[in-house]
Amino acid sequence: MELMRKLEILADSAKYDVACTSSGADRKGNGTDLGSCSASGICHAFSADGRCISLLKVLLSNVCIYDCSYCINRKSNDLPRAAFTPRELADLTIEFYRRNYIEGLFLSSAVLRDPDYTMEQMIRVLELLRGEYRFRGYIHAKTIPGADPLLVQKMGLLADRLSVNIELPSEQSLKLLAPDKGKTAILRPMKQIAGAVLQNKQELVQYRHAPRFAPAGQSTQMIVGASPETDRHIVQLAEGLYQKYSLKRVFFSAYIPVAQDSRLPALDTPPPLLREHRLYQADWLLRFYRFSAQEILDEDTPNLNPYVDPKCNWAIHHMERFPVDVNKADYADLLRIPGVGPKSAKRIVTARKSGALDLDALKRIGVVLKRAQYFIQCKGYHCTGNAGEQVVRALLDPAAFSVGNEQLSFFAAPDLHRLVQQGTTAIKAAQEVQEEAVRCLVKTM
Amino acid sequence: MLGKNDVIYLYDGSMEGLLCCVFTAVAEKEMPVDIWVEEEASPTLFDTKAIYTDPQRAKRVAVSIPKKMGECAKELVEHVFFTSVEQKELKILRFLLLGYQHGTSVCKMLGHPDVAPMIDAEKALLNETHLLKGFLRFSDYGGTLGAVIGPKHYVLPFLAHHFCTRFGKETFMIWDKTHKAALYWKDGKAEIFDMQQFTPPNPSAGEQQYRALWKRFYNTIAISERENLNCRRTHCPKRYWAYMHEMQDLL
Ligand code: SF4
Repeated sequence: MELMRKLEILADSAKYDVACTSSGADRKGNGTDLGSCSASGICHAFSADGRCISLLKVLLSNVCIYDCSYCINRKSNDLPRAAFTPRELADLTIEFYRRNYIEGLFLSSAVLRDPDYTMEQMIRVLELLRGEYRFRGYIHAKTIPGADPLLVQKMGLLADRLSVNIELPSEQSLKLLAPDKGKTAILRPMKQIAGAVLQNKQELVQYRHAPRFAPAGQSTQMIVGASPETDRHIVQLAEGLYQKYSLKRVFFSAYIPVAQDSRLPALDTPPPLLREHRLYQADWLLRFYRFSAQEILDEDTPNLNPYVDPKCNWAIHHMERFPVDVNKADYADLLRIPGVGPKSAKRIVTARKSGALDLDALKRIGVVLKRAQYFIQCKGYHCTGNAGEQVVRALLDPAAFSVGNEQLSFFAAPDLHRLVQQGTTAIKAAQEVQEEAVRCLVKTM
Repeated sequence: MLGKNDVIYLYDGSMEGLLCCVFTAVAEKEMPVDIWVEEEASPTLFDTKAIYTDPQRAKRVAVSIPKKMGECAKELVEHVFFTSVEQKELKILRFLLLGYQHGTSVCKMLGHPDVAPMIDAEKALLNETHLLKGFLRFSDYGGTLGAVIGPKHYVLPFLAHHFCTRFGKETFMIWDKTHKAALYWKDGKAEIFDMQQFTPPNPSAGEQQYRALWKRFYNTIAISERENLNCRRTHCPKRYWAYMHEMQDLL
């Protein structure tokens, strides 16, 4: 088969994998060999769906012996199949890399004959790249559930990041939708990798030249919207994964119907993009804003509010914690102010040492006053309480009500889609839903 | 009536020249309304004062910056000088005058009206540098790699380290069309020089094949159910598209 066609088939089969970041590894060029890694990662292009393209993301092969119902590559799906030879893929990676199209390779694969055989093929590609081509760029490899731990170990010594996809947020869903995969087949390698990364850190302290095991750590991803788990369940699961397996990232992917199957949402169900977005925001709160999963969603709130971001939602429900005095509060409390992010919080801490900050100074520092003004006090300014409705309006996320060209965007909240389906015009539906959201939120204040 | 301070400084566009403007402003205790590059100056109602570039004076100012306000101020000034933000010279002057008053704390006065614009300008430069580390496209011309970029700011010196260390053994040239300058890397040596014009050679069949493969990959990897062209434009502004093989024909 022609290389062009292969690339098309194997990129198409890989496109639902969300992680395409090249971050977490810092490896300088050495002057002779090809490549380097930059800790913050580099995006080389953005595809028409607005996602960053950093790595050559392909499957080694999309021939699969398994039949996971949510996956386009499942055995029972009628789909063109192909496989790269390890040499082909290594060459392609190098030529793309030299032209600065990519930061490296994101290699994954369907299960060819059995998990071990597949892993061996993948390792072959990495060996060519790291050995023969002496490639120092970024490599993210996905381990295959059920593969021999020795192969996982081997892969970790060649790749910068490993991932094991948890696929679905619960064991029941996994059993139902991916009967060939077991939860243990997923958690076991995750645990192994976490252990190996930790052990490697200790070795590196002792011998600086010890071989590095997955220096960019491990990540995972799960599909949301294919199975019935709540946001609360998912956020708690993510928190647990960060804590237990020191994952670098947990990725979420809104389910896009790929099969007519009674166990799955109907084919015309729009992918829950807004929900995915809110989950990422919650994930940010876990990783950078020092929130706990319990603070984001408690027993009485199973799901994230579609109309405001979870941090603003928390603020609305905790008005007693405000106003925060910007000139005195510690970093953690600054982070709780809507309109203040980690960067501006750090800047505030630095800047206020040389004099109390007023509203103008905060604005210059990068604080979004439109939101922050209701939650702070600073030099010459003290927010007035009781601005309930005004506050809520300032915090609403316009993306949830976005109407372009009299049509709803994919991103609009589900209630809007419902009203439009019942015959309301998009603009009217957006207004109605927005007013209802305001009323609702004000009530909870 | 134009007062004593209503004057525009004219300088030669070099860093040394600008430092001499700083010298004059301090010595004469005057605040110019703006500082222009002499060559680009347009007629004006204000008085103008041509500032002569004196290496001795420039050096005195250059030495005083890290000494009085720390390395971070020196770096900030150098960075902002490489940007194309409006009135960058005046911003630098204001910042330095503040720095002579406050010493090393000046870099931390992030909310001050004379500091925040410097930080923003630096951010613009470093952002563009970061974007171009990704958006720049090389073509292989018989073993030598060539790229053309059209950046807003003068990022070439900041890109040099990244590409030279990454592509150690390669030979490459990056031409900055905006600033008419080129970075050339060969046998472990980097050079930046003026270059008014550069017309890339015709791509070979092999080169065309890789461009086509890349383009196919680019088009395939997008999920049509999630199409979001606004988001793409925010992350990858249109002004970069002309230099990216996969985007060119979308313009
Ligand atoms: S094993 Fe992987 S590729 Fe195969 S059907 Fe399941 S999810 Fe898809």
